Amino acid sequence: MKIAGLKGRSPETYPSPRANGLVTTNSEVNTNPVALTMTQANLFGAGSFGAVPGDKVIIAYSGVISAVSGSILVDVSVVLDNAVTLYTLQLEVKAATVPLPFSLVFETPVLDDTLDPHAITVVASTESGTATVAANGSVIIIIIPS
Amino acid sequence: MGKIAGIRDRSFETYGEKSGQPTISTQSVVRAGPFTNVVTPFSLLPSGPIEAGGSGGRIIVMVSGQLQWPNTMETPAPSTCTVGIYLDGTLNYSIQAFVPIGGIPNVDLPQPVSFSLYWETATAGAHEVDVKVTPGVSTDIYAANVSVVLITTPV
Repeated sequence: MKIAGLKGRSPETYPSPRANGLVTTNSEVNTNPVALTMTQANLFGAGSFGAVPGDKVIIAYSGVISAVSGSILVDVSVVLDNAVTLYTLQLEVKAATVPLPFSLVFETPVLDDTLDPHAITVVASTESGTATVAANGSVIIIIIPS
Repeated sequence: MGKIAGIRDRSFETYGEKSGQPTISTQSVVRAGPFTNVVTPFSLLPSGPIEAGGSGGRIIVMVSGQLQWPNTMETPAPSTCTVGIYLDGTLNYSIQAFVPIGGIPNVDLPQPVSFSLYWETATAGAHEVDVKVTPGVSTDIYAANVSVVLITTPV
């Protein structure tokens, strides 16, 4: 017998949330430092976040960047499928040992069907070769089906 | 089994489901810029205010971007800028960001100052949402890489 008010709470009666039409979230934290150079580095190691054609994805990221020495410009970007830079925020780390906290938010357009699934990453690179470190990154991914 | 009052949208067997309908709606814009000659107050949106929300929804506004002096500015000065969220033309929430002097034009780094705002309307309703910056001492600050995401959530 099904009982009112138990939807989503009784695995036997309602086995799982329905993916279609429901907003889903994903998140990741990386407390390890990520060394940055002029080549884009994934701020979450080799990992990426998946979404399927027809989805829109909101990416909210916060973290800290610091420089090993000197003042330097850093580009933090949201990248689709390891190829397309969707959004970039430019930061300046003022000096060595001066951590710079920052955050960004971005929503993708509706993802097309050129790939299934798509991969979303948050990457960073420097505008010059000075070694810089990003750490304590936290990202929240909100996937909205259309 | 008959229908029971008070369980609409809670029983798939009795009422089915709202298939394919997300529980929230979103809108977003990006304005890469840089856009110069920022006057007071200057909208950071590419096409003016965004109509969002509705009678049954509140609006979460999330913004990120950067402010700085143009690297070619001859005589920049420190400026405390105010970045605010406007509903129907009225400022509702703001933060301040200090934009330092850019140093020697075309030599020193332009010193971008990143900022973010997260805010939600207090009550349900439709509004025109704008994000504007007000420079403290000059109209020559420039802004760039502005991203705005609006999430309308049912109350």
